[in-house]
Amino acid sequence: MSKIIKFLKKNSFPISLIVLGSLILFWIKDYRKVPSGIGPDFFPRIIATLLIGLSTICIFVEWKKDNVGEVVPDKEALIKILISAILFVGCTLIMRYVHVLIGVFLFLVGYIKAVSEEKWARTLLISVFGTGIIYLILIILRVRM
Amino acid sequence: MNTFLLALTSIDGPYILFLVLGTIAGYVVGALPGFSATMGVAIFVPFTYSMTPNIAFAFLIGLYCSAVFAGSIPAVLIRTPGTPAAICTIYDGYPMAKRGEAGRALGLACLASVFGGLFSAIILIAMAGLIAKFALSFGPWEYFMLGLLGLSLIISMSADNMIKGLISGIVGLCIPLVGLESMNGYARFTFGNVQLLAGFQELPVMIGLFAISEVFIGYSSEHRKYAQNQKISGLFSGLKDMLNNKWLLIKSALMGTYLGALPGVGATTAAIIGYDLARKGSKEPEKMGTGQPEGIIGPECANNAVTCGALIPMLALGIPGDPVTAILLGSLMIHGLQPGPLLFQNSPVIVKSIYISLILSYVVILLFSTISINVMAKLLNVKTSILNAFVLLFCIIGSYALRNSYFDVYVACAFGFIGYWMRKDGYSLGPLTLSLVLGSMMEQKLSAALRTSSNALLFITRPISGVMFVLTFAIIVVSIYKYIKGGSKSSNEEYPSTSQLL
Repeated sequence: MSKIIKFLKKNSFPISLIVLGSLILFWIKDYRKVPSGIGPDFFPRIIATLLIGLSTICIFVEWKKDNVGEVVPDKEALIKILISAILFVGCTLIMRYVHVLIGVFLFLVGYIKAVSEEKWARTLLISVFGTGIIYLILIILRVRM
Repeated sequence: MNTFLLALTSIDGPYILFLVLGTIAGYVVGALPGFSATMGVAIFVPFTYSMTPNIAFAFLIGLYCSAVFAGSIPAVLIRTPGTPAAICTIYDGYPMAKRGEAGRALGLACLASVFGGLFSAIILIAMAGLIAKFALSFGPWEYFMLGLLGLSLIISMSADNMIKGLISGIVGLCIPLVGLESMNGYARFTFGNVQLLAGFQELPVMIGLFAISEVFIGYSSEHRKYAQNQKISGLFSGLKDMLNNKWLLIKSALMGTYLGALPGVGATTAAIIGYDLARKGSKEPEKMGTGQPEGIIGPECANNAVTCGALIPMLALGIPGDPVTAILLGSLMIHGLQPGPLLFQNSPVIVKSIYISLILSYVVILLFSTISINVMAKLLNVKTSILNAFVLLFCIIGSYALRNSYFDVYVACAFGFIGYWMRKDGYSLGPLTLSLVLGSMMEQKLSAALRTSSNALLFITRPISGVMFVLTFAIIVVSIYKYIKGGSKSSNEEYPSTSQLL
């Protein structure tokens, strides 16, 4: 069981691409056909086939190799990524439905406190100052959020 | 000549102001380890929408050029490259700084960078127009083959892991598939979502891939508090070294420009080859790595020459040389400009304005370094995690500003995760960027060519297209041969990697 999990973990990206390629082939089967053969399904078909083929080759070629990526994420890093993503999406929703500056302020407070682990006073100071700067940038560049 | 004069008249207060602001932004991005030129350009492009094209490009080019140079500041002072392109500056820059000659080392890096940048700018000015004129005769067959040639270079740029490079390239080709198909107007992979009809916009995708994933990657890297307290003086004490190494400067600048013009090669490879040139040409090669001036001049000159070299195919053919130029290409289109030969025909003043921005940006880098290098060096004391908060905020605002659409913000976030996943598993983002830009163009041209004539042999029998086909074929065969023979291991193998140095 652990070998299967290890295999899936190691090859998660190419396996996902094989699934994606298969889905593309499934989705395009009902696409409109044109007499020339160069219809909307032509390019996706080539790309999906390449995706499946290369990903399969990758799994076999990399069978005994270790994944050598840019980083080996630890638990702390994964938690920080999760916090960042939640803050990113959450504060975007606040910007959209409440007010942009409230979203910016909450994002800065949340991020600096949770990821940077600063003291409250410093966190609030940077957040207020940062929100002011962002406000100025939005005004100067005429970005209406 | 008239267009040059017209472009010169567009240089006014705001133009200079934004050029300087771009240079400062580039300094910050380049000098901070973990931030790259690509990330900087991706974050700041959306803020240029409301600017006129010439001011927008003055800002972006100032940012691009100074970010590539500023990577050498932490390389010299704290033995950590600010950008990957500054990796080789560590070998001799840091030992020189340790001897108490940080000013001389940074001065050499600055002067060599300025020389490399200006040299390649002159080549760009001389060559781009000619190439664009030649490209005017291209039909859809030639453009498709040109795209294919660009994609074939993915193989050579992923020499250390060809399969993963190819997969990354194919993933890039998938992204433009979403949305209305250009030839038939057929909605593909939209699943009834109106937002998806226009497809994924390139910029939010790039912001996600390069800026957000960079922040995520940074969480797993070793965190350390940098402390830079050395007083930097005597920036111009290296002028004599520059004169003593004039042939190295010329060779490195030529090599850097050439490598920049090749799609997908990039500044890091140029720096490595520049260092190699320096070592081979050195009178005392055994002393390389102990603080020799040529060890700084070679890589710095070469990596900065790449900046203008990469702009040659981007401006003349509409083909990006590296991820930064891919983003700049998108930025040109956002401003309603068509990159490629038509840009020279329809907007010659903008082209000349870009040339002027390139030259001026290096002048600003020189002046700015003289005045404020000590202040910039203090940037190394700023906590990266606080800067990351602002980077992510800029990502939100930048993605939104493109179309005033929150959907693009979520797209950026999603691609941030994809970029992180790929990098974590060893898939380079360079091939993805190239194919993302080339993919939709290739599909359009292929469809147009086959609709004009069903004779597919025209791709080979038309002279220019035929030559490109032979070149593509040769690149693929040679790369695969080298890969199988195991001789295609990247040339930097004999040098320590960034992680080893850290």
